[in-house]
Amino acid sequence: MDILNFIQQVVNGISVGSMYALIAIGYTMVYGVLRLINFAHGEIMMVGAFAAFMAMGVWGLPLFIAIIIAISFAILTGVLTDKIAYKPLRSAPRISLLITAIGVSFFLQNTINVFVGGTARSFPVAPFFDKVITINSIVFTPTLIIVPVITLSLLAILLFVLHKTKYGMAIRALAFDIKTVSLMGVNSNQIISLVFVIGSSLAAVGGIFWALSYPILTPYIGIMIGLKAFAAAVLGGIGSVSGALIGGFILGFAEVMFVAFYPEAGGYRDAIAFIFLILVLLVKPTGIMGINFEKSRF
Amino acid sequence: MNKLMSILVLSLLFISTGHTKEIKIGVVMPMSGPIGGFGQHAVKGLNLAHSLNPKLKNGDTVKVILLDNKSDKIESANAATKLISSDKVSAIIGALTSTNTMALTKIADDAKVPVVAPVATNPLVTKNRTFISRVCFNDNFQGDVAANFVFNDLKFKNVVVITDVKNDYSIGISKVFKTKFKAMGGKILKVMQINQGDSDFKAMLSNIKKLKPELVFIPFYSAEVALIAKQANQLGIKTKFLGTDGMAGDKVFFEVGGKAVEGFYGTNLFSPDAPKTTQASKDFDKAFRAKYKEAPHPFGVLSAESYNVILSAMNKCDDPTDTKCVNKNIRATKDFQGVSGIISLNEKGDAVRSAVIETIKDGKSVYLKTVNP
Repeated sequence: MDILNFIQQVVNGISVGSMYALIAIGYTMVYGVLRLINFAHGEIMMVGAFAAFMAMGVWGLPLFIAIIIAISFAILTGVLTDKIAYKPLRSAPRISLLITAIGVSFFLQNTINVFVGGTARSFPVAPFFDKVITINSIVFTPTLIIVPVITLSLLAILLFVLHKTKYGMAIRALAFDIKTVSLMGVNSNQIISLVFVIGSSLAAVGGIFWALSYPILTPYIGIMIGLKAFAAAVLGGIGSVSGALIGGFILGFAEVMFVAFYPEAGGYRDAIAFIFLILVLLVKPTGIMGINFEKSRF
Repeated sequence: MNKLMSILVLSLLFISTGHTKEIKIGVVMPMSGPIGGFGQHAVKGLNLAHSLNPKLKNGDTVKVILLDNKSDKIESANAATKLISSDKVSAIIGALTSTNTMALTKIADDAKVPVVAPVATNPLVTKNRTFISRVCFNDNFQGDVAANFVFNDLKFKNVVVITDVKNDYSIGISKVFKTKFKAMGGKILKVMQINQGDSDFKAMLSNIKKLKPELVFIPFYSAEVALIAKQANQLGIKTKFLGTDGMAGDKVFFEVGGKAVEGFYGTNLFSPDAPKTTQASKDFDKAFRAKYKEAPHPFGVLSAESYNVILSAMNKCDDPTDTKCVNKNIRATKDFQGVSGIISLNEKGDAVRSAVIETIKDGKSVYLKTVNP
């Protein structure tokens, strides 16, 4: 492999990795607070992407407004999911919550399937996103530059909110011990809703940029992306937002480099992502940025 | 009183339907999921065929029971089981594509219910199955046509093949293409793999860019082809691409592919622009355009053909619900004046028929030529 091709592959890796990272951050947020692997996260992302599709493709609204609509829809879905499906199970064993999350994910897929239709839709992509920048025969797509910037700024905002604001403090406190914090007069359900608002918004943003890069939408796109983002979050150390970022990039790179060196075995691409995850967990069971839940949060 | 009324209504119902029977034909189609677009097109043709011929010769009405397989193998098998055991259908059309049809062939074969597959081209679909037939050619022929076109018409010698390893259809036709193309003296630079449902192909395409093949053979479905075309275009790949009958089947191919798919070649089962060889195909074309205001889609035409072949077989049996007799007559189809042209089925249940080659121009499939077996 020559150096130019290699650099192109690194660029490709960043493009895939930043997408996984963006979605993985939402996963890790919810896990950090509720210890719940929210398997419906990929579906909330899908709902966001479909809302944007409706706004742009059907009602003809501009991208900016479509993003707002998508985020609102995702927040509504996320918060309702919490209120209806997760809240009654707060004191139930973790496994019940996990199974509920899987159920919610199927429910959302089928709801969209029934109301919007299950056929593949083409996501309307503004011509701007089709332009490419070529430097020394290395090709950069617009989403490739925008997505990492958005991922990093969202991460910065998130870390700021978590560590510098009163609500952030409440979220972190809640992550330690819900019961005690409630006794201190904090409205825990309100704070948990806030967590779902943040997580769902991140999912919606992820969904829109996924659709802009790979503009084919079906109600089932959330499954694989959700699993990959989950793997990324675990790889980085679930519960740690910066870990999710690192995990996302590593997973993206691993996949791209595997296909880059062995395109004839590209069918094993998804398997590689998960084999890689297993290998890392064998060496470091808590993930790369694994946090000690007795001492700190996020 | 209520009870009396319902008995009265029920008995009336029996009287009104007592004379002619209702013959049930089950249809398994991908109406949703990744290849839902294929099923939508297929059902349009099927509904038209049913509305044109809703009755058998003896006056029995035909009822079509449509089940969605969600583009999934297991759902296809479940649908076939339900149609056979609970709806008691006399024949099944479906499940359109190879992978999904192969999931239900054993079930239908064991139950001795004839299946006619509209566009399942993988050679294994009818292999060792007495009750499974199809109105399309198999991929031994399509692979041969594709290899011939690349080597003799386009005169290309260096080719990269991409196989969708989740798709039996793609695996089958890739294999045939490779063997034939090598035998002709062509060179396969590399065989690459993808998975149905993948979205990012840039890593693979960057490698193709470096290999500089004259053509890339992409025998899989619309969504993946469209994404590959788009990303190849972004990476500045100028190579020609050749797809197969699954390529332009769903409209997302044109919507997402846009300018990127211009100049793509494709082998296909049927082209509405090819010279028509039968009166039935002229009539069907006219009826289709009148009803749907669009050109007939290959999947729609072949689904209609499946329906017509089954009906013609049922007409030859004294009892249209005698599945063995219906199957025997489906298999015996010879020089059938169909809506897609003249078809004959061979001893394996495969249709012997011509293929067409198309190219994509101005967002449409444009007919280039017909290749006869």
